[in-house]
Amino acid sequence: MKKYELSSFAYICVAGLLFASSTVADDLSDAVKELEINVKNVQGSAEVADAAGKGDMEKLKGTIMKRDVLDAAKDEFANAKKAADAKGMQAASEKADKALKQDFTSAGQGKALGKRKNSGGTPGDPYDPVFMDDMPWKTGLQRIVNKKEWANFWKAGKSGNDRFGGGRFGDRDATPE
Amino acid sequence: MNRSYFIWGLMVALSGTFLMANPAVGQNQEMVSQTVTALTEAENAVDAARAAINRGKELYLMIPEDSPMFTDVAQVLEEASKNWKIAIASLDGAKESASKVTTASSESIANDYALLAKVNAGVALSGAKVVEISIAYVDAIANNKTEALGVIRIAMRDALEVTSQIQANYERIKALIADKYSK
Repeated sequence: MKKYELSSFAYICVAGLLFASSTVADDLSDAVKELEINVKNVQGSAEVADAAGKGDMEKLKGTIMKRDVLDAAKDEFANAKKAADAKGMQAASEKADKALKQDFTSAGQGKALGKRKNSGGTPGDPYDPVFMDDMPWKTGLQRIVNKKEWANFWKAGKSGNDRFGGGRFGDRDATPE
Repeated sequence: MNRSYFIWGLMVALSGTFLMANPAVGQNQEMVSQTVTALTEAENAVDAARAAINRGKELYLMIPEDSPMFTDVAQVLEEASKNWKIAIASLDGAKESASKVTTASSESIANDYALLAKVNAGVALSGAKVVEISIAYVDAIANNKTEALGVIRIAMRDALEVTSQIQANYERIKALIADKYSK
């Protein structure tokens, strides 16, 4: 009986040790990811400054878009960290990594997914919805709102906002060609 | 007696599962390759910043001393100087940590050295980028690029804000690693 109590205690100690070491490893991994996201953010700022200094407006627009995505990734990481959401932190980290490597001057010109063809530069039905998934919107919410707005616009064949005199813009039946 | 064997068996199984589930072994090679990439990137950024500083010296001389932007330039160069020191020290730290990876007494220590090298390289890279932004700012003033000035000023402010967070991240990582060996 005494032997069992000792073993049980040892088991608890080992389990505690394993738990503690895995928690430290998680903390460390999260801290490294956060540092890397921040470093990428500074790299993004440097790209903006470089483009502005060279007076390259096209590149500047692209680098500002990139900076927005890097900012969004940074915010998403911070939120995921607060919520202890490991998957969210990983996703934010990957988003920043992808954004830094991406050339945003060609945003929207890339190859579309699926059967959609009207993503720019390729032949297709001009009334196909524009491929929106990779557009560098500042926040996830904004992206969702914009996507919804565009979907409504194309579906209805008119502007989604009648308050500003919309209703005819984009109406395919009224379009001369 | 049987119960005792069961508990010990469970402990062994749990430890075995932990070791098998621990991806550190498989990640070792990946970590080393990531460290090498980070070091190369940091070295390139520091070299680019060094070239920018040399260019900055000439640009600085182009700005008249009675220029209303002269105070701005002085502040920006002060920040550049601080970040340059950080970049150089961090790059040295990264190289030193990287050199210890192969001679470490255990895989865990080797991984931590690789990690330290990687984060030091990150700090060096961000410091070098701040230097580049600072020189872009001086260039914009020296060459009257007024349209660019506002954009570069915002980029500089953002970068400085984030570099202070990077310093905090770095201190936390160092503390977490040190914690592992202080027990």
